[in-house]
Amino acid sequence: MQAMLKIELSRAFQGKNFIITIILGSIITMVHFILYALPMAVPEGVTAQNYGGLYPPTVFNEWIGGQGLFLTATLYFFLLPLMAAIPYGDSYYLEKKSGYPKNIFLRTNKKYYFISKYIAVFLSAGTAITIPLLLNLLVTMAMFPSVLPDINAPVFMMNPSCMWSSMFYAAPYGYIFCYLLLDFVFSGLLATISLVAGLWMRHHLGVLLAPFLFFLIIYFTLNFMSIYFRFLNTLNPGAFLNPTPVIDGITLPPILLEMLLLFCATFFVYIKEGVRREVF
Amino acid sequence: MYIEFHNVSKVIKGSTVLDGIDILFESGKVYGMRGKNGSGKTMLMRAICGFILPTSGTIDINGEILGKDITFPRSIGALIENPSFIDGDTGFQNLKVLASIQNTIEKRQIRYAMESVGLDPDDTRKYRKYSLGMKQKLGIACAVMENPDIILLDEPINAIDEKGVQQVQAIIQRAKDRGALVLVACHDRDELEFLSDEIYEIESGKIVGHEVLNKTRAEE
Repeated sequence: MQAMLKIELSRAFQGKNFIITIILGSIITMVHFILYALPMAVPEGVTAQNYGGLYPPTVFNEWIGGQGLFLTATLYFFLLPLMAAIPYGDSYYLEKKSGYPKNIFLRTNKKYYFISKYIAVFLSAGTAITIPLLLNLLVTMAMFPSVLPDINAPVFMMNPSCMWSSMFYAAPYGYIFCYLLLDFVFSGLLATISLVAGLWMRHHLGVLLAPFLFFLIIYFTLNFMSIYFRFLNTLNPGAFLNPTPVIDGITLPPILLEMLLLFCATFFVYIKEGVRREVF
Repeated sequence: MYIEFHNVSKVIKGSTVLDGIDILFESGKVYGMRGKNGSGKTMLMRAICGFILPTSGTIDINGEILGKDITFPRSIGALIENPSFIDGDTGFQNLKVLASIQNTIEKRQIRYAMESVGLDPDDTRKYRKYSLGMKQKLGIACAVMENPDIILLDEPINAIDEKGVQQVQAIIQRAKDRGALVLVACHDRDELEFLSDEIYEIESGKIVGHEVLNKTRAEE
């Protein structure tokens, strides 16, 4: 298992698709920085006191996760399921099509191959999605002060009913870390939908688009149903993946439940069906 | 080492691809499989690899039932149908990655396997740049590099030049000499007779003929 995992991780993280995804994502987050953050740059040492009593532009309202309603941020979080599939999501489909797994199944248990691939797809997608966000955060940190968010400042969309709102005002970097972790895990899970799709789908594009289609179906279904059941909108990944609280009432337990369901649906289906299938 | 088929049948989507096969393969021998396209030669090899499981009957490999006691034979190398490797890696890199799974051989053994089929381990060309014959040779090198107890070669001399054929013959002979069980499927009747100790004729998934070749007389 260890040898198989090492092979899969090295192929996932050293593949050109992994690099391409990071570059694509970084282009979006850097364009965001150049268009929206850079023009707001303030002199070093600025505080609310020397900024006319107003809360100044800081890391927390200028990084891409603090400006979630801006075009680039919306684009990033909307394209997230598509980008998550690019690094390694189609690897099983391509290998199955070429017959490569036969070389592996003569040397190790099939189960180890499928588990290793699942882990590699999950980790590579999560990393490729998180790195551009981190990059944006780092350049914003280099240009803006880290002034503790002021609950009375009208620049934040955060209110007490928002998830982790007390953490945002008390330890904003902790808030950012938690959101990056949430995005990491959800991106990884979304990418594994491509693995499951690879079991049945016959077209490469379909396999790559599967997480995005899943995301769109969930997005529009929950949006529509929230007309009747308002709370359903808080389960929408399109809303909770964005560190800016674009809607009220998002809480952690339903998100965790959603992730658990997605994990079970992808992991167990992929492993069980993959191992069960005969190889031709 | 032996492989014993006990009344093995395999039905796929209503079509019987293996039909009541009873065979015993023993180590130190080369077995040839002859038959038309779609006769069941490759299916029989897939069954030995554990890629497909019998609908009925059992495959006993050295006292262990495939699909019950083991999911694949403990020591096997195979080239079944077309070889398939990672396009963006060189031949050597491909074999190195696969060898790392069991980690039973060193780099020099991988190099030796490649050289024995006429491939240069230091060739920097990616697999995607390989010719059809080179791909086939890499597939054979991959099947034999770990000196497995069982070697299955499905049409091994396809797309290979004359020198390459001689190299494949030498590889099979060496495997037999060290006590491996070798199974070869080939359309070339003369080649199969040259390589094999025994030949099985297969038709519509059934064994319809068995010939034991007197190699000593042939060699004289």
